Amino acid sequence: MLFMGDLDDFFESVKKAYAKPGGANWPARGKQIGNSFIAIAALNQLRQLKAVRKTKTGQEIASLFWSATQIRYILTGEFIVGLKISKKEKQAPELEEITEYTNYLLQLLKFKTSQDPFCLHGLNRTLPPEKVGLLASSLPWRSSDKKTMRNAVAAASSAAWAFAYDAYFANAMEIHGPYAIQNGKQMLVREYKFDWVPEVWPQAPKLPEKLQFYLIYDNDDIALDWELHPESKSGLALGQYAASTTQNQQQSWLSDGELERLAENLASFASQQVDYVNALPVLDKIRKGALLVYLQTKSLSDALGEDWRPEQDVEKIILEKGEENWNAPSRARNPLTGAFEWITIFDPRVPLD
Amino acid sequence: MAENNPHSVLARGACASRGRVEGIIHIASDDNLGFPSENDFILVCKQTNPAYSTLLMRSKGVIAEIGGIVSHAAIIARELEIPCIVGAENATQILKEGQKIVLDATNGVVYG
Repeated sequence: MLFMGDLDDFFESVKKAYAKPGGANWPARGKQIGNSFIAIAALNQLRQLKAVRKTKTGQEIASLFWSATQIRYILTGEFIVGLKISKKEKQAPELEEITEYTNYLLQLLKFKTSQDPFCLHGLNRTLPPEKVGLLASSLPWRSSDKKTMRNAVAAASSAAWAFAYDAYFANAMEIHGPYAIQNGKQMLVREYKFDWVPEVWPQAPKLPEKLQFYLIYDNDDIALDWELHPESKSGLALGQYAASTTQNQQQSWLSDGELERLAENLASFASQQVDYVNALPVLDKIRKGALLVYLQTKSLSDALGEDWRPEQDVEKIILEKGEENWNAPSRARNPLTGAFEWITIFDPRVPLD
Repeated sequence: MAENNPHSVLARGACASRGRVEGIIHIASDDNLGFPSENDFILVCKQTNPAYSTLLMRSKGVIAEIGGIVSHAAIIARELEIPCIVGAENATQILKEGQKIVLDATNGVVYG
């Protein structure tokens, strides 16, 4: 069943988020393996969704995605564009099917966050209200070293980018909220997931499998957009915080001293990772990028009992193009200013030129 | 005060994180991040990436030549709650290492 209103809301949200001037500039995105791999990745995602839909409910499929943002990122990352490119290369599917499954992902998104799934009203709330109340009353809140907490957020976000390239929102980072707490204050929850890092980056130092930062701000107007940039007219003003790491399913709450060491380590790891990636041969950067794309829907593969991996297709594409012809210049995401361009790219009903 | 002198505007950019701060310039590049012995400098660069994390955490303001409000420098500066302007053309040429300035990010102006 198609929900055209959802498509319109989706476009509206994407336009608002992407119209903001950006300038992401590091690293060369792995997806620069080119149109061919984006198409392969998207076709694989479509195939996985079709297969898993036969045996699982929407709720069950939604639970295979670790965050709401993962679904959003897949939509605007490779799914729609990749399928359109595959269409252009005469590999099917029809625009009607792309539209149907774009809508299907939007419906899955609603299982993760029903209140404002497209962040049109600045929300990405995934916790039920009773859980928010429980957290507000039970977490080990502190306000003694806000700079260290802010540093930890900056370092963790940089590490997410360094290890997941610009697919970090799909693979490594989620921000949910804002949740109203009391006296006009709002809580944002930042979750970071690094348990996949050893598979892609075996040389990397050991990172915590999971980080959870609970942050209460002295703001009452925080808004998140489709790309989860928190904004407040008066600027974010951290009030209280609680931070934890999870290792082997064991959650530990961090003292200020532990948080400080974590921030220093993550900043250092991010810096080392940038140096490591910059020193990689171009083709290895591409191979890593393809692996990062593959990981985005690995949970679907696992649920289907599949063992498909991207390596073989990637090597085939590399050989087809000829190793000497690969060039991966650093590509800034040039913001498109007109609504027309965005609709052309993200509207599954509109073919690419 | 220098910031009240209309002739001492050194650079302009777009506000990426509000606030006003006075400090000493540190100019960094991808090839030479440099780590000043003193904390609380104002970082000036073409653009940042995750390798700049430690530097950003120690700075009290950011001036970037390239990038918009969702660039790495802008996002991290807002998280750190420090003033930041982006799109400050030729800032790494105009401003000098060790120079004392006022960064009025809210209004997108650097005063000397």
